[in-house]
Amino acid sequence: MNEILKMKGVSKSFGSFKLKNIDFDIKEKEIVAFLGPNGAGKTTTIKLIMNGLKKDKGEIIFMGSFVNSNDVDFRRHIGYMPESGTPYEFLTAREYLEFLIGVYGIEKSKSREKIKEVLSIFNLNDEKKHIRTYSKGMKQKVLFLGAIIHNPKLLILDEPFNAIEPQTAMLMKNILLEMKNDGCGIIFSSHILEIVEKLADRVILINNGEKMGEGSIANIKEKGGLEEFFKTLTNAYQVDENTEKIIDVIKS
Amino acid sequence: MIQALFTAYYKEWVRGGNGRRLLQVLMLVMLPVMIYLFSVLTSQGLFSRIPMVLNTGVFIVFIASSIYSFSYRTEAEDKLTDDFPMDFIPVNQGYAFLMQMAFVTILLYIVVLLSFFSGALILNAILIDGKRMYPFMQTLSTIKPLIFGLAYTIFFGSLFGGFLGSIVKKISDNFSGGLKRFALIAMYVIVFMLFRKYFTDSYGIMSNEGFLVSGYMFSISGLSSVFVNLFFDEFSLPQFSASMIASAALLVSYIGVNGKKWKFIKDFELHTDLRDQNVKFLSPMWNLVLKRIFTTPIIVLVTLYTALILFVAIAPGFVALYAAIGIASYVYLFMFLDRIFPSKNENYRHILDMIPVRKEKVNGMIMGIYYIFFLLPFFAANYVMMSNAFTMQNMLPEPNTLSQFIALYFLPFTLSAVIPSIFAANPYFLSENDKGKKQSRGFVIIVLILSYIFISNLTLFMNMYLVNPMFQDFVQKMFWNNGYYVFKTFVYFIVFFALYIHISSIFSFFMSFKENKNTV
Repeated sequence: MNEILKMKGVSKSFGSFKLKNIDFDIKEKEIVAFLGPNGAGKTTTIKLIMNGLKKDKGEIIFMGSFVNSNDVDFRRHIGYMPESGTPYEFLTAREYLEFLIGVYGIEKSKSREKIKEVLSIFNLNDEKKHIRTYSKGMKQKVLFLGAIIHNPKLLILDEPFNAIEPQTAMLMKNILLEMKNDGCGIIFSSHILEIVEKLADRVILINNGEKMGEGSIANIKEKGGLEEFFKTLTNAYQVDENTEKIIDVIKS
Repeated sequence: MIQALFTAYYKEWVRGGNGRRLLQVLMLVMLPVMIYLFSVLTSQGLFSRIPMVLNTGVFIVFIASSIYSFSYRTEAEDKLTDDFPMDFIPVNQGYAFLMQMAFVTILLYIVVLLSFFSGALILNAILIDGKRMYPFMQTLSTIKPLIFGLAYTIFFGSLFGGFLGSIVKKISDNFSGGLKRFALIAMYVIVFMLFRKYFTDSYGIMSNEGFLVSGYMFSISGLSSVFVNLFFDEFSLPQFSASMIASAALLVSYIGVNGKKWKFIKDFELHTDLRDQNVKFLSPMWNLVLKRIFTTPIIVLVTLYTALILFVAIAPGFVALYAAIGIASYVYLFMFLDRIFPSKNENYRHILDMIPVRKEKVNGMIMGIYYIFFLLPFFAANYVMMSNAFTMQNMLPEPNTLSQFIALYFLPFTLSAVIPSIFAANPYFLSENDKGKKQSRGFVIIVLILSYIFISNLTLFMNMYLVNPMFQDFVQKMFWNNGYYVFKTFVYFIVFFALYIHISSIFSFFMSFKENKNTV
């Protein structure tokens, strides 16, 4: 499988937070899950790939070429779903997708009916509703559709299943698997271990701004499963002890 | 792609939220009206003192609207928590910027042209003593040269405003909160410096015609002109450069010591210990509100501000200090407003609904802080400046009648009621209301700016009325010879409304100390 994206020794620091020497790659036809506790550096890493933040050092290589800041060509081949993105709020879902189609240079007349159909499948077919009136989950759906609409080579999804209803989550998972089979490389971050276990081929674990480990799902399952992998690498063994402490505080 | 961007801009712009609606009023109603009044009234030679004031006002409004129009560009602080489409779609930032500029230019040009024609039609209907004052064709022929000149003015105004806004955003990316907003003020200072001649002319005309009264002083153009002239006439360029270098060195050392990291300093208050202090005799709720507002920089500014006011009161001849007070008050204004209004992500409703505190108590506390720490220093500064600098120049008239008194104090009295009325309409510390809607900080700032423009212009016209018999005659003949009573009723209504807001807000502050058995 060909390598689509490679991160080499990427570091970034701001305030008291430091992301240290992150190395990983994503290949064609592969789904990689980015796992880690809150504040571990998952979103920061994703934003470094998307150029929302500038790296302090290291290299990001996309299909053999270095990615520079504001790299328009790079973005043409990437689909990105931010964790808390704000689509243009005064457009309807259809108008927003049509806007993206225009930006990506896809012919609008051919896609209008298809957009309608897709929105109806995702339960977003109210033509008059502006995005600002949408719930968090509905906004996530719009962002997901915006990320995949141009059939990207690399799909980057930051917590894509947050606030998503079960039937849409199942639909999204199937779409991702189909895209993967078509050659797309996918990286997504998530806290939901069950989804990671079912969807990902490989897992990268990050904690306190450092890459703690990496492994294929098959290997991880052999060694006791994803929960055990997570607990070992993030020192999350004190759950029982901490539970007792909190109950004590409440009672006192 | 151009079509896609234009469509998105257009739809976002036309639909907009409350904040953008107000911006639309500013750009699409007030700007054409001001340009129109300026062009038509100048050419007719009527009320010869108005044009320059309006002209300068138009210019500033124009620059401001251009800058605020480019709201699609994201800010560094947002990138950590939010993503906007412009960050991840394959569009070059410079290209997007040019498209936005083109969009605003075309929009403004069309709107202003349309307003010229409709304005000419409205003026055509004015009959005084049976005589048509502004015949349609005559008005059109008068403003014909402007139609061509306007394209030039709008394009370069937008270009200048846009680039200026862009540069300021780049600079202010290093800061957040009130300091970031202060960077916008810095931009205005640059505008003043670049267009100094403009303001000097305005100031000169007003001074020669004896029009340096409070109405003019408080208008946008008046304040800007006086500020610029005081600054540059009394403060020579070497002094100015030296003070700027000293301030910059101070800022750098402050950041160097406290922030350590240049790029990601997130407002000074993150690096202060004062926030950990509690005032023991006050309730936890009071401590919460005080801690939120009184950060180290605000305390430093209050001290500096008070010291400057005292110094001017003692040594009134030191006119350069007025400029320093002006700058300190602007910084203070922005930092204070930033602290007193929660950001779009803060929603105190959820906190306040969970704890046993009455919303009236919270609002009363906010009002108390507003009156004591915000209005009081401002009025003190104004009092010292007016009673020293301007009585020194024998320009300040003594009010003899109630109308004159109202005209003199109309602006500070009514403008200071804007924030309390916003809080009254949006209780729970501006958090979301029962319908789930929350006013943004941007909305509040735009309301304040619009109120200032409206009130300052109304004050200007009131003062015009008091000193110009020709204008008195014109006003009286409006509304079927009842113009004076109509406008007087309107002004008195605003004054009494402001009075009601002030009294109820101060009352709510005192009531906030009232303890309830079941509440904190």
